[in-house]
Order: sequence, then C-alpha cells, then structure tokens
Amino acid sequence: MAPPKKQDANVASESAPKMSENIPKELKGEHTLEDLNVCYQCGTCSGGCPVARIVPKYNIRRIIKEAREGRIDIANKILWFCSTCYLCYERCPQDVKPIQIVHEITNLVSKKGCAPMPIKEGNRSILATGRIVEVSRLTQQKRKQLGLPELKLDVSKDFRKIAKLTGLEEMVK
Amino acid sequence: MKLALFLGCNVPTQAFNYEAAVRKVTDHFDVGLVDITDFGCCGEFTEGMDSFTSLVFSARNIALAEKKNLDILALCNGCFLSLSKARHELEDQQLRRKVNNVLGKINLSYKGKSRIFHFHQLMHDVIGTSKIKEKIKVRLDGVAISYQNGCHILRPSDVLQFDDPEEPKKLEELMSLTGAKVVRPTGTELCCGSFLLSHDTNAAYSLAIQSIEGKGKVDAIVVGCPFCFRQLDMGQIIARRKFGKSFEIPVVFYAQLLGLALGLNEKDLGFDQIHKISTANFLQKVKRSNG
Repeated sequence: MAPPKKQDANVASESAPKMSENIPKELKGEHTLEDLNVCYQCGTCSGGCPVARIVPKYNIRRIIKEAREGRIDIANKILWFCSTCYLCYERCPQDVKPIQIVHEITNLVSKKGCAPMPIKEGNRSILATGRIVEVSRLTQQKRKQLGLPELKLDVSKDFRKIAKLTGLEEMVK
Repeated sequence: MKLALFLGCNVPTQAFNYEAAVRKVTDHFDVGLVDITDFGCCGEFTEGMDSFTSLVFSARNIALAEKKNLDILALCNGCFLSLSKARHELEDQQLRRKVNNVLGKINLSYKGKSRIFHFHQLMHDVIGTSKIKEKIKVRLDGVAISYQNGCHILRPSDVLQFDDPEEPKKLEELMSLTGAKVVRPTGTELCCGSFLLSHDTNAAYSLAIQSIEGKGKVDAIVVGCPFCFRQLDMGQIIARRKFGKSFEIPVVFYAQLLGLALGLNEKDLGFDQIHKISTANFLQKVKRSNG
C-alpha cells in the first residue's frame, strides 16, 4: 500500500484524529524509527500472542509494521487489546519490545484525547479516590469482620497533583 | 524482618481473603508487616494512557516506603510489576531527576533504596523452602491442585528476575511442600485475560476459560494475583452462563493453601469470603485426608 500523502496526514491530525498519520515521528521514549526497523517481521510476537488466538484481528506483528510505515489508525480500538502478558517482549529475537511500542502508540492516542471510555473512566477513578476500585461501606464491614484494618477512603490528593503536572488530568476529560 | 505491605487497589477490596491469609501466614515466619495508609494505586492501569504518569505514581508509592526505610511486599502481580519496573527504569538518573521534579511538588523524593518483593518471592527466595517445610502441620496429601502463575510475576524477566519466564518452577515447589499432588497445567505461560475486560468481555473470559481448561481435573487452582483470581473464579460462572461450559473448581491463593498446611483456621484465611466457586468440597477433602 502507498504511504499516505503528507497533506492527508495533516488534515487527519487537525480535524478528526481518526485517519492514518505518521506515528513513528512522534514516538518518544527509548524507541526510534531505527529500533522499529530492526524488526524483520518474523511473527514470533503474533504467533505466541494469547489475545491473537481469541481475537485474530489483534495482530501485534502488523501493528509494528504499520507503525514503521506510518499507517497506524489511531481511532482503531484494537490497539488497546494487548493483555500485557509480555510474551512478545520476552521472545522477540530482535529485542524490539513490541508491547512497549503498543504502549507508546496508546500513550499518543491518549494525548490526543482519544483513549477509549473505560480507560478514561478507570483513570478518573484513580484521580477521584487514589484507587481504581472504590472502597465501599460493605467492604469496610467485611474487612472488619475478618480482623483487617480499616482502609483510608480517599488517598487521591497526591494523584491529582501529579496528574495536573504531567497532563494526565487533561487526557481523562 | 519488617516490610511495608502494599495492597494496591484490588487486593483490599476484591481479594481481602488473600490479604487476610498473608497477614496470618507471615506472622508464623517472623515477618512484621507495616501498613502505610497513604499507599494508593500502583500505577499499572495508567501505563496504557501515559507511561510517565504511571511511573510517577509507582515512584510515589516507593518513596513513601523509603521514608520509613522499608522494603515493599506486593501481593498483586500487577503491583509487583509496576513497582519493580519503576525501580528498574529509575536507574536512569536523567529520568529519575524528571520524576523527582514532579514528586518534589508533593514533598517526596525517590531514592531507589526500597526493594520490591512479591509474596511468592518472599516465601521462596527469602524465607526459603526448608524453613517452610519445618512449619507444616497439616499435610494436604489427599488433594490434587494446579496453578496459574499469572504474567506479571514472570515477565518481563529481565526486570522481575524471579523465575523462568517460560518454564516457571517456584510456585510448583512451594505448593509441593504442602504435600498436595501438584498437576502442571498445559500452558504455564497463559494469561488470565483480565486486561481485556475493559474492551471485550467475551475475549477476556475466553482467555480465562482457556486457562481453566488447561488445569485438568483438579480439586483447586492456586493463584497469587487478584486479577487471575477474579478471572478464573468469575470465569467459571460466565463459562456456565454464556459458553455452556461447566466447571466447579475453587480458586485459592497460595497464601490460603499454605495457611491450611500451617494448621490455621479456614475462616481466618478467608475461605468463606469472596470466592464465587465454593471452597467447601476442597476443604472437606483436605479434612478427610487428615482423618
């Protein structure tokens, strides 16, 4: 497939961030385009991927290929289907660390405000209480019966301050 | 030995049977657990959205333990991974400065002093199998058990450095000490699918069911992570409801199993709490084999 025209990419990022755009240029952290290029598409990652056995359209090998070619569709929810089992990280013969590339892509998607709702919701819970699971009165009661210490209901203060400083606060909106 | 008990989000709310068992069991091995009430989310859930924030969340928790000069005991595989990963990544001094710039605003600082242990690691590598063997009072000879290690206690192995990522043995060794017959599952590397729950529940439970099917005919499945626990326990309810597959295998934490072998009371170990698949038959079988 031909790479997207530059013009198309610009239109995509400004209006609806749903079209292909050149992800690798924006990949930060320890990955560079060169790291992605050492991938020779052997398929060890997708071959061992437990999610691919159940959801064949989740193809980690293809995601790496598309990232390299700048053809990632950031609106595609399938990008979030990694179960984080780390088998691809463990087995890759070129040490590409595919799972980290997926995280870098989903981070980028999130910065554009396009994370899936359950991900936003979960992070909102963390900012609201300091935990992803709320501590209910029933939980406290049952814990007490079992002789366990009472939990502090709200430990969110630091989390909210951190989120403000790092920009997470904006991403969950 | 004193350790800061890191509960995270899921253990104290959805798997406090595990927490209760750990508190009882560690008592028997002269491990003092310190509660730091301000501990919160470990940071794992945030990684997909923003890895840097996730790292700061992890570092914040570690910094709280460092203030008390304590190493950390994590019960959940997810917490174990994110805290260990933070420690690993923050070896990079430039990144550490960046994280400390944020932590400074909440009067904390990450120094890299506190080590991170998983409960299974504490038992196997720190306390050791010979010491555990000495304390076994009730042999669980009459039961056959299998297990799910979970992913984040094994991989990434360069970060966690606990067990062989493809052929793990340590949990099996710990389970064998109780006298129970340990059945190796097909696919020791299998994932419980918990992370998929937010996106596709059918896929998430299909992974769980695949894991359950790999255990064969056993009296219980042993786990060491609240996510694996929920997936394999609730997964059996879903299997019946949606997939027409019927299982009735209780899922128990290794800490609970060890507690039984130490002669502790099953109620104190939380066997009658939280479990969706009843543990009654399993406990009866344990009792029968001990006359």
